[in-house]
Amino acid sequence: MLSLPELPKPTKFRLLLRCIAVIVGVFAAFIASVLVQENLYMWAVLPTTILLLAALGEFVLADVLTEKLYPATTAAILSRLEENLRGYHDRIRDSIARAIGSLKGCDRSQISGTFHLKVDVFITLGGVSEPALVQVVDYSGRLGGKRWRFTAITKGLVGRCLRTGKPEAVSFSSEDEYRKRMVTEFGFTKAEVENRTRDARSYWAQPVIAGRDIVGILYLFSTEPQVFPRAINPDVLEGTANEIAAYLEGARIIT
Amino acid sequence: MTSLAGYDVLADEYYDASHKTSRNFDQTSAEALKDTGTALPAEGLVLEVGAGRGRAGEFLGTGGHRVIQLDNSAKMLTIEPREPCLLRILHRAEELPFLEQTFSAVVAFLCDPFLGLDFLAEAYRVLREGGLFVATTPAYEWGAPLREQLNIGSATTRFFTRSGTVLAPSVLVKREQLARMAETAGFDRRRLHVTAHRLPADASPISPDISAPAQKIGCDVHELDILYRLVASK
Repeated sequence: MLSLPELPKPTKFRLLLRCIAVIVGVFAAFIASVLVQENLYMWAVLPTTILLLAALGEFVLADVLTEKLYPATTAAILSRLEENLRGYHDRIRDSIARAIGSLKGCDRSQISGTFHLKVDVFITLGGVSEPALVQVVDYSGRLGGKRWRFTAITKGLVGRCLRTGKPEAVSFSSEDEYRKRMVTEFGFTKAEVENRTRDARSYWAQPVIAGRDIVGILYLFSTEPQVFPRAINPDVLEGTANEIAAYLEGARIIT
Repeated sequence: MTSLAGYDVLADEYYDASHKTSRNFDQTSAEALKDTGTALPAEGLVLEVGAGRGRAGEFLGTGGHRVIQLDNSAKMLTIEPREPCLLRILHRAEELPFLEQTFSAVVAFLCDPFLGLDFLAEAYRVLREGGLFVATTPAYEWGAPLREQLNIGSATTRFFTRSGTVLAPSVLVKREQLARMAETAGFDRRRLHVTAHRLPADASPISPDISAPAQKIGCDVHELDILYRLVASK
């Protein structure tokens, strides 16, 4: 059973719209019935209209709005991912936790990691797709956001790793430096930086390759500076990336 | 509240007596390093990283004709009076602008602003075979409870200056981790030693930022480890 925070964004958004429509509708219907009982028929027209609008919103507009914000093709990709990954999510997390456990010369309790899968998303109704990265597993470690977050491939260390096709590392000595470089070097807006975890100081992105294609990025970060790349054993991280690729094949996400 | 990457904002008053915590660290460093100077190779260049106005002469008795001072703050490198040296270089510690095996010693006093695997690996790289690395950094036993009390985050330190409160990056690691870091950076575990040091009995005046964590832990101010000294040979 999926808990609400684990649901894909389109589903959560659609549920939110449904809740709003039901609450507004029930309230309007209650007001209308009270007014009818009081024989205030003309006044009852107003809540009745609101009730009808809520119904119209729920049965017609909500689907259109959801489709516009989260096109069905993207939603379908997310649903399929969620379904296929169900048996593999924890295995991928365990694999990342083992990779964290292999790091040397650092405080491993300060390290978090996850996996970003390369997907095509349909941003507009025109059916034109763009490659993006979606975080498909929850973080191993104590920091990091929930899964199903999208990152454009033009942004962040994960985007850089996907573009270069090789492992990438970056370290910041302070939060100020992090804020500046995230904007000047990593393609984020100031507002986006504010919404990200700013406690981390050192980052690692490792391409996950299947065949000859990069299918995603193994992503680690530490709240300690200067951890990556020195703390890693490249063979171990490559092994983890291969393990994740094998899980993705098992989950029929890649073939 | 100002935050900074370099120490430019602090340079004008970093060595003032009013910075009691820093002065207590000076007293503790002098005590912790008093025998270390004799272990330094008798010849060859000495690189002082995060040098400020220079302490290699004061703490280790190194002659200025051997010392190259490096700091990422231009202001810290121009403080007067200062120790004599061959050369002053404005650069980051995490990426040293020198060829491999250039120095017979690399020293860094209170290296917490740039402590990390990159710096340690660079120190190892630029050291000659048989060279000595000497570094000091605030002890976890002191810094962790203090920063918790101050609620400033474990990787940040705080200075009260004439122009207001300044926050600066400061890495705090446990003693065992410091040894593991040096080993990961390339130093031989059998030839590296991390020792913990306390405020000398005659140190005065004692900073409230040292007495407060001692009080919190429930020990005397002279029973609290406040400084780690790392000595490693290549």
